[in-house]
Amino acid sequence: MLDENKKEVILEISHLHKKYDENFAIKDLSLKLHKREVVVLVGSSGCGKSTLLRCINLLEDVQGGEIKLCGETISNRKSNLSEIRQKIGMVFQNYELFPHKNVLDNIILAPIKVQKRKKEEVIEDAKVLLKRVGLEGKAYSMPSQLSGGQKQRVAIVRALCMNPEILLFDEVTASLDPEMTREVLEVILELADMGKTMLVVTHEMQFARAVADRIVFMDEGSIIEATIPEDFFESPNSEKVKAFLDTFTYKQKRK
Amino acid sequence: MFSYVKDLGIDVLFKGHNFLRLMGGLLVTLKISLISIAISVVLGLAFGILMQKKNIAVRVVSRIYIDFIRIMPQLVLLFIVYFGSTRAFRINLTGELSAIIVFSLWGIAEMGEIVRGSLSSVSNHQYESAEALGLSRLQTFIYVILPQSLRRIIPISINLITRMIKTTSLVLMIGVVEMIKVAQQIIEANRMLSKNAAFGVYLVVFILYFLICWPISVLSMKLEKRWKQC
Repeated sequence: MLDENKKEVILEISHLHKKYDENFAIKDLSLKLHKREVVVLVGSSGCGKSTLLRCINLLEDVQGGEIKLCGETISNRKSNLSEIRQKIGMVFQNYELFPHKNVLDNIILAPIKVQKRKKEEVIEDAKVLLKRVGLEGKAYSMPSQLSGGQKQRVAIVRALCMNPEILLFDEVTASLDPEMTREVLEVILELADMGKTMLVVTHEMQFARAVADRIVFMDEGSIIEATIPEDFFESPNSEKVKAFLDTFTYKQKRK
Repeated sequence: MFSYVKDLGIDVLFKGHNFLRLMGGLLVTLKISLISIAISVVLGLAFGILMQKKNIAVRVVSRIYIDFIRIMPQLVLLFIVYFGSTRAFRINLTGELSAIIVFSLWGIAEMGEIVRGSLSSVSNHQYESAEALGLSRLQTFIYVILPQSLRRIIPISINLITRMIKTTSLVLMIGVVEMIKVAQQIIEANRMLSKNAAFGVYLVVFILYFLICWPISVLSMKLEKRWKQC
């Protein structure tokens, strides 16, 4: 799977520990992401997937181990958080657009205020990206006028417009109905084709299989299995993965 | 037609400088209200932001302050400041200054509560989304949190403003000659000549208060409606 241009390590997590009070949310977790690689994190609720993303984006402190982004240690940083977060694009489960700003203003706020880029230039970029996700006509709509799927696509564009090194997706389709889920996931698939480095948390197994270079299965804060999609779905090693995959199929028939 | 006006007792206002005097009283009412409102809005905003701090001392002190101001009738506060300050601190405050102090203290407390409530009603996700984009705390506050809060703060605080304007009528009790006091003086002076003066003059006073407060509350309703959509 690792061809030449995937060798550069973007994200390196080593022996990460994260505790809430006395409970471990993440236990001795190590994971590497190479440039242009798409890693999908799966596992049952509460296994620490979302917490891991929040740690990477510095929304949480960690109690041990370290996280490196492009070779620089970022975990537990107290200063220059902004500099690091610019390199990390994150899209959350709940559509968190800013409700008082229209679509375009949502997208250009951070590039202008944080990266101090020229407004005209950012607007141009934003419009190109909006077109790519099929929302060129919605630049001046308010978030309240958009569907859930449209909001999530705008949130993705907002993260993309910062030109991040890596994109984190935290169950971005969890609150969407199937059609909207599809339109959002298609955007993420396209990003993968464009060669973006991504860490995706999802419950959509079909999608995971389609988009992932590697699937990482987590349970109780640790990685149980990390492998290519074919092996993960066809011949999982661990009993826990088998049990997890079984929850997506219904073998029992009605009597 | 003229006799009709006389029956209502409005005619006294057209004698001598009576109407001008009433307008003078209105100016005093407006002066006290507007200065207090300006102080309340600025310091109330700061107070509300301060109350967001998790510091226990800040919380306790601001809680006591707010509760004290809310429990006390404004009239009692006026008496304490106007009469009490002379005794306690040996300073001689004018009635107008005492009124401005009391109404500002009241306005800051109420305004602070409104601001605090509105700020804390903005969801935590908004802070996180903004931070995840690399916005600093100050930028998050200025570009994301405050604009959303203001849409809630402005309609409610306009309600407070009309309450403050109406309540300034109490200052006649500490000897400030504002609109109602002037009205009383006019009525008293014409008691013998015009039996209906009380009705007519107070009717005009009512209309004047209405003309000031009504546009303000219409504005608040309009803003609320417009901002509800986003």
